Amino acid sequence: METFSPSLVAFYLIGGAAVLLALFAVTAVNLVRATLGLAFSFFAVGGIFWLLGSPFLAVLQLVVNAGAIPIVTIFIVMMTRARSAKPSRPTSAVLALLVAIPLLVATLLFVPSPATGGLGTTQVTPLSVERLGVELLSQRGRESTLSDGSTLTSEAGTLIAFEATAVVLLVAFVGAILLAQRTPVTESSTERDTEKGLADADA
Amino acid sequence: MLTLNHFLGLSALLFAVGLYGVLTRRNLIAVLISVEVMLNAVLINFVAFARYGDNVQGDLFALFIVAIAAAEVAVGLAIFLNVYKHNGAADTDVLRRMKQ
Repeated sequence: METFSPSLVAFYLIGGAAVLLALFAVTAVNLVRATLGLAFSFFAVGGIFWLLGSPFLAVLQLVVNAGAIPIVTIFIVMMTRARSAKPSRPTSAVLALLVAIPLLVATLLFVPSPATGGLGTTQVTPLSVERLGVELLSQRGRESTLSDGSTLTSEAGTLIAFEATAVVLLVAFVGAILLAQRTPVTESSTERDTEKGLADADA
Repeated sequence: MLTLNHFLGLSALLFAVGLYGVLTRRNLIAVLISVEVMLNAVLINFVAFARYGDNVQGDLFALFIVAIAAAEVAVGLAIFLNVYKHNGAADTDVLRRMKQ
């Protein structure tokens, strides 16, 4: 007999909210509302990360995915006056259901039922922020001393990947600024600017 | 008891919802939103497997996915702005004309 634990109740509440809000985000005609639905869905997924014992990822989810991304998206929606999306065609909706529902069923078939045990009968092991940070910012095989005196040998070694991600973010943001520029900088426009500047200087 | 399968089921549901959105939506921002939902489903999978198996790699992968997804949204929205300025609308129908 399955015990009805508080964490199970929390999971169904948060997970149900996440799925329903995602459905709203995916179907709402008003784009601002869809983005808000997405934000709250991300918020709920942050709660799922908390249930999984990964508090750092939960906070990261709140700050980046539930905070920054919807704000930028709403900002763009406001800038372009593209407030409402065209309703989807009925034929494409039917086709999408024909793809999504079999995929869902096929995926769930590979997930054994929680009642019968199967894969997931073990407990969640919480991950401390300190351990995550040490693993993230050290090279593989390097020993570090944690604050409680124990030593930890890094098994991931993602320091270089971390630095590379920083470069990728920088390039992406510079690229985004260049792409979104109102008037692309071309040779002729810079020439015109210098001529205009010279004319101003003459006057 | 809360098992790994609960999280895998939730992830599959979210992924299907996102896939439905990607296939039906006609506005580019709405498509981007649906892709975000799918990315989140994948995040849940990574973190669930990592925490139930107690290996840190899954959490690190999730961390990197969040960072790269932020970059993806920035570039995606910039492209959206460009398409909007060029055509006065940003639907997938408009992009179809790019072939010509």
